[in-house]
Amino acid sequence: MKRTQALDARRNIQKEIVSFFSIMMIGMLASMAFLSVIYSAATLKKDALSFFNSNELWDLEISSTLLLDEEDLEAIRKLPRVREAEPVYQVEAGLRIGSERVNVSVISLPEKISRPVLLEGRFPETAEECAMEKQLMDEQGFSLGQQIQVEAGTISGIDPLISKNYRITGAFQTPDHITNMIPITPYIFVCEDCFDREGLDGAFMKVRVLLEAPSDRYSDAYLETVQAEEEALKVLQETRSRAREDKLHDKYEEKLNEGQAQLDEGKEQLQIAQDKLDTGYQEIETASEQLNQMAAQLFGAPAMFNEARGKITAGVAQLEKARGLLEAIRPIIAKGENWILDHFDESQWPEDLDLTYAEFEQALRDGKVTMAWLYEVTGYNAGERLLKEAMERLESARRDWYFLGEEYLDGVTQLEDGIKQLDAGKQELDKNQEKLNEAERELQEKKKELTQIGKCRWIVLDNRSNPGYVYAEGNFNKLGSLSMAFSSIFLVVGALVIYATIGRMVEQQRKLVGATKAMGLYNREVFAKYLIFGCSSTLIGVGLGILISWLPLQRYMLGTYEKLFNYGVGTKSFLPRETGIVVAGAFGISVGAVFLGCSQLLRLPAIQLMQGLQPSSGRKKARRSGGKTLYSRLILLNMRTDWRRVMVTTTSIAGGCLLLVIGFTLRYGISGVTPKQFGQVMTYDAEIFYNAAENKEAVSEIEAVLKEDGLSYVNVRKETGVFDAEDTLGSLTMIIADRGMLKDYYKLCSIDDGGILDIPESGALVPRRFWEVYSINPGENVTVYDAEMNPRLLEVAGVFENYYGQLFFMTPQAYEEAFGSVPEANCLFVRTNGLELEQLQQEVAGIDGFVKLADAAAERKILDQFSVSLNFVVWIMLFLAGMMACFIVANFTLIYIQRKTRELTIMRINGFTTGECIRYIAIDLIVTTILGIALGLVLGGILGAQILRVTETPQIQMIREPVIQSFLFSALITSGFSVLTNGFALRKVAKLKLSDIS
Amino acid sequence: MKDRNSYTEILMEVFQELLGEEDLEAALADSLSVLARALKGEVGIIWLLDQKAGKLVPLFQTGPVDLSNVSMEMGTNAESYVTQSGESVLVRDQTPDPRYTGTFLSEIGLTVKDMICVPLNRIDEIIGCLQIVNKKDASSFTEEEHRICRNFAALAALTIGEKGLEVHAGRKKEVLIRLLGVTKEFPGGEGVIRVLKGIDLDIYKGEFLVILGESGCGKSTLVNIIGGMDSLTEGSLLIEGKDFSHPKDTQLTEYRRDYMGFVFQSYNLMPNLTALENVQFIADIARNSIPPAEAIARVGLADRADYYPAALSGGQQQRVAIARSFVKQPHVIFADEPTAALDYQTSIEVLSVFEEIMQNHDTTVVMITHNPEIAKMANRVIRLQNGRIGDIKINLHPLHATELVW
Repeated sequence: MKRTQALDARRNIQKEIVSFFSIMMIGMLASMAFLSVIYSAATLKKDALSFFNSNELWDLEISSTLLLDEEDLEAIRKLPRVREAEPVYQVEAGLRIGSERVNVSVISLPEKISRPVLLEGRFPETAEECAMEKQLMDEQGFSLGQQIQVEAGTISGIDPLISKNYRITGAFQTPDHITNMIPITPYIFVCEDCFDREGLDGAFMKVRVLLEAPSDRYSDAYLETVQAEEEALKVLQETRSRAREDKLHDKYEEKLNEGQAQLDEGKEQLQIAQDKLDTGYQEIETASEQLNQMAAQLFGAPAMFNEARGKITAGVAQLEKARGLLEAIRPIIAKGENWILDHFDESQWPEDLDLTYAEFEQALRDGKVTMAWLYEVTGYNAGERLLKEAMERLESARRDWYFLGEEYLDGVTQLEDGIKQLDAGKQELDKNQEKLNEAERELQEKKKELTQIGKCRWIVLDNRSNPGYVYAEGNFNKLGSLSMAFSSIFLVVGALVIYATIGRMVEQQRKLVGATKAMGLYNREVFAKYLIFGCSSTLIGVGLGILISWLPLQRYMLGTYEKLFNYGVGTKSFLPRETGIVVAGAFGISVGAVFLGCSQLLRLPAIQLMQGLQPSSGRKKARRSGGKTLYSRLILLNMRTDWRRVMVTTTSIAGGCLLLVIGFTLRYGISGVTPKQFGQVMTYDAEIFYNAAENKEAVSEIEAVLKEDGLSYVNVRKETGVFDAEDTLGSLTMIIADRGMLKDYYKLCSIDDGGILDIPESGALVPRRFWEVYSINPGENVTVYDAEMNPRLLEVAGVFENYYGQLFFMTPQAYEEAFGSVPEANCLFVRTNGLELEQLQQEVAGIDGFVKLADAAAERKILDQFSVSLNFVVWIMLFLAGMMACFIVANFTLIYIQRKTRELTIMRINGFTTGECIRYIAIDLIVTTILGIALGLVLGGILGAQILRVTETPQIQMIREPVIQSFLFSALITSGFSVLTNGFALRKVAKLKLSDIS
Repeated sequence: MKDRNSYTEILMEVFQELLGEEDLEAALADSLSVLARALKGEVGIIWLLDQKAGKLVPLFQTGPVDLSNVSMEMGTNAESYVTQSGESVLVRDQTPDPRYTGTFLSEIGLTVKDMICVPLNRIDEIIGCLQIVNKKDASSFTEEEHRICRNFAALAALTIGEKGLEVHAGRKKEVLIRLLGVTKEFPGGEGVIRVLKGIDLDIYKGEFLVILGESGCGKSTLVNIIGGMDSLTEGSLLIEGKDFSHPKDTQLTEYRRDYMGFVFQSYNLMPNLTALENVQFIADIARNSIPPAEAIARVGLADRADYYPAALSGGQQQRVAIARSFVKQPHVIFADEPTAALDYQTSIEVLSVFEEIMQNHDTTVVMITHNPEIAKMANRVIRLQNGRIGDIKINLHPLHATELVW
């Protein structure tokens, strides 16, 4: 290019400085829209990575259903990509703060991996010391030196924490938690000595792993490395799990066998004892029978004694009677035998004499009859002896009876003692039996558990399970998406504007172009002049855009993100590659736009160019005027014949407007989430958590308070869990409530027709975002994990509209079906009806089993901060879009007016008033602006909805319904800019120099 | 001797003009210009006596004083004295002369410092006088110059006598536009540039006024001011008696809308409108327009009425522009170099259209041109020089367009 040509190009810029400035501004705005966001995203990412890498954030975290041991650790360490592996002791615990309980993770202080950054004090050195996460300290008002007490849960039946009381020695920040925007369980670091390593049998809860992986933890290469290692761990898991299973199985089986042996021995002993007891009882029974017999004898003896005494008395009486008879005979006997024989009447012989009459008669005859004989033969003597003997025996029997009575009483006493002893023995036996039964049951359970826990499963988590890591990535990506979405539109609009501006300029200079061509300049030389114009303005604009993006704008953008992350966002990024692409792209676009703008004209021969602009057609076809004046028709005619300008103007204005619509759609879509979620979807105000295990009456006592305050409530179970979808572990919150109970507390709206849904009898209602992200349709199952991280299948029964959180709604029956256990309610959703939460807190704080009262809208803060950050970016985009719209409208108005200056001057010279001339221009501008706005609104609505979806996370759904204000404000701003810039530009019409025409 | 030679040269030049030109009026006008220029006179006038009316008529003039619509009763002033007495008058540094009472020029506002006034003395009668006023270099006229003027006057009178020239004081013309002391300044690189330096001019109804001048002399500026397209800096502009010196925009718009038409060198047609529509576009807003089709027909483009400008030749486009200018039946049409971009034949066609309009509509046409041949069509020709009226020439017998040759 010759020096004069360069001079001409420079002076052309000076002459067309407004257009030059417009293109420059649009180049600047477009590059700002892209670069400011990607620079900020790069800084966010760079600082996050720096924080992660400097503190060696774990790449993989391995836990196991059966804990992990040294052998596992060694095996992991031997994996090829593993740079470091460190065991971690960790237990979830509660920290009692006033009447509330805050969940914390008590975790062994790491040495190499995920090293905490000490912010205050020092790390714990003894089993009585701990360090607390700074966020927890600040939120709960703890201070160094303060004593805390934790309530730890158990792991595999073992209370892993030896020490429960700690003194806070330091405050730290961990790379595991880089944002305060996501609810996390804060860490309390303690020494390993605080854990019952003996009780844990040398096992630990987790192993954290550092890999030989790329330092960009968000890069594909990093993720590929991690995934490869996860695959390796899967393989390792198979062997290690079996080994662990076997080891534990053997260990527990041995223990079970020992227990079984002890149980059997106990059973045996118990049986012996039982036998003895039975014998004792039998003996007691025998003794009792004997005693009874004795008693019978004892109690029968007096009667016998009486009877014997009676008989003896009767014998004595008979003996006396016999003695009387015998004595009565004595005289007879004295009279002789004959006499007796003669005088004695046989019939009168006493029959009860042992001596019959005949014998007597014989004895008489034999002369043996004497009194002595008679005493003898009549049995008197015998009777007397017998009586004596009987009396002796009676006496003896009486003595025996007394002895027996004493024995009986002794026996009874002994029996009673024996029975008591036997009963005691029986009770002991029963107890032992019961113990034995219990032991047997336990043994059985242990056996059952052994079969159940026999499956060892490793849970391998990578950084994608770290909410902070994902949240940060989401922010980079969102910024990137926003930047791409906005800048692509900026790009199109910018290209159009450059094209239109250069096209207009060349058109305006067509005679000059013709003349220069006529003078022998090549097309390329003519083209170079406009290329210099287009490229220099674009590149200067881009250069300014780069500077502004790099320095102040990036700073402002990062300012809002500093609040989201606690790793210290600050060092500004400059991306040479992306910046180079932008510069090259801007250059390419400007070259393209200049080429398109010039090419048609440059192809024309010089003579045609010098003839000035003429419509291409020759003769007009007859057409009806439709009753319009020529003035009106001319306006339409102008638009029709100059359709390319109208199209470019309309498209560019549409571009500006659609950027605004997108911006406002994002603005309302984002900021509308909080009021929608916490105003319309969640209609309860507070959640009161309680622990029924601590106090069975807790719920009824809390309910009594609520009733007294006249508050409505519903009793549910709220439980966090983990799901596995598309190989991604995510957290979810399960709300378990009876059907029909939640309608006044949570609006479950159908995604199909907006109708109110009830909790299904089986399966769970899942939020729309879950359904969309993981593509799990109603009727399909999602894998959820129970407390022991055992996978369970839960059917998706329906989908509802939800704007924040992965909330799964299900009935207790559905829960039981999925998890195999009956859910216990632990939370009351309360509608406070305006009652201050503090007052309610005071009322329920004293109830045993009360855990905490939470503001239902507590997560509003997170959403609000999320909205604020994103909104700030959106506002910047809106500002840039507004500026863009302003420059577009101004540029095109000026272009149009410049283009029409000659016509307008002619009109003015010929007597058209200023008003008529302004109308002549304005109607065209108004029509193109209206068309542009209409097009912008339509396209903006469509694109805005698409881009809004990009900003959504699995947790957050934006307000997708079109917000009328978005369209209204966009139309108003575009129209406003149009009115302002047109008003300003149209002053040129009023100040037209008519004399310039000649 | 040097002066002597130069005076001889002047006289020779004057003779050549006077005698060589067949057209007497042109000869007189041109020779007067040569004389005035040679003598560095500010104003030069040939007054002829209308015997019937007894009035002196400034038939030819050069210089910035517009005497187009002037006739003078014979009286006691210098011009009358010279005409009546046949004596010459030489005034130096405003020297009082008891023979007469001042000059007519003083009455119309010109300060006369130096003056030569000699009689046009035919043998038998005095037919008028030649007047050269003020020297541009502020010196005084010499006797030699006085003598040259007398010789010129004698030769002019002789020529008029031979060729014959009728003088009619006629009716006084109706002034359509009057400019008094109009100046125009533009901001320039080193202060203010005064483009018009005090223009006094009347434009009459029905006349064809041609404005000639070098580039940058202020022709377009003058027309822009008269046409209501630009404002004057000082002075006053009267249009049909109304003061438009500092008009409101609406006044000017109304004025242009109904009373003025414009024709430009570059046609300036609306490219999106056909020939007829271009005319109709203006007719639509005018109060007293003729049918656009008639206007198009009058410029001979009835068969091209539906053609867009792109499909018309330059001459045709200019004719459309003319039709557009007169469709509203304006009182005055301003034409700025309407034929500059056209070839001879086309120019003649275009000029013929102007001629037709003037003849049939009594429309005043003010035309700027560089072409002195076109000036022969004009009733009056004004030559601007350096922001001032250099001279004003009256064509007593304007030519028809078809008679022009260049």
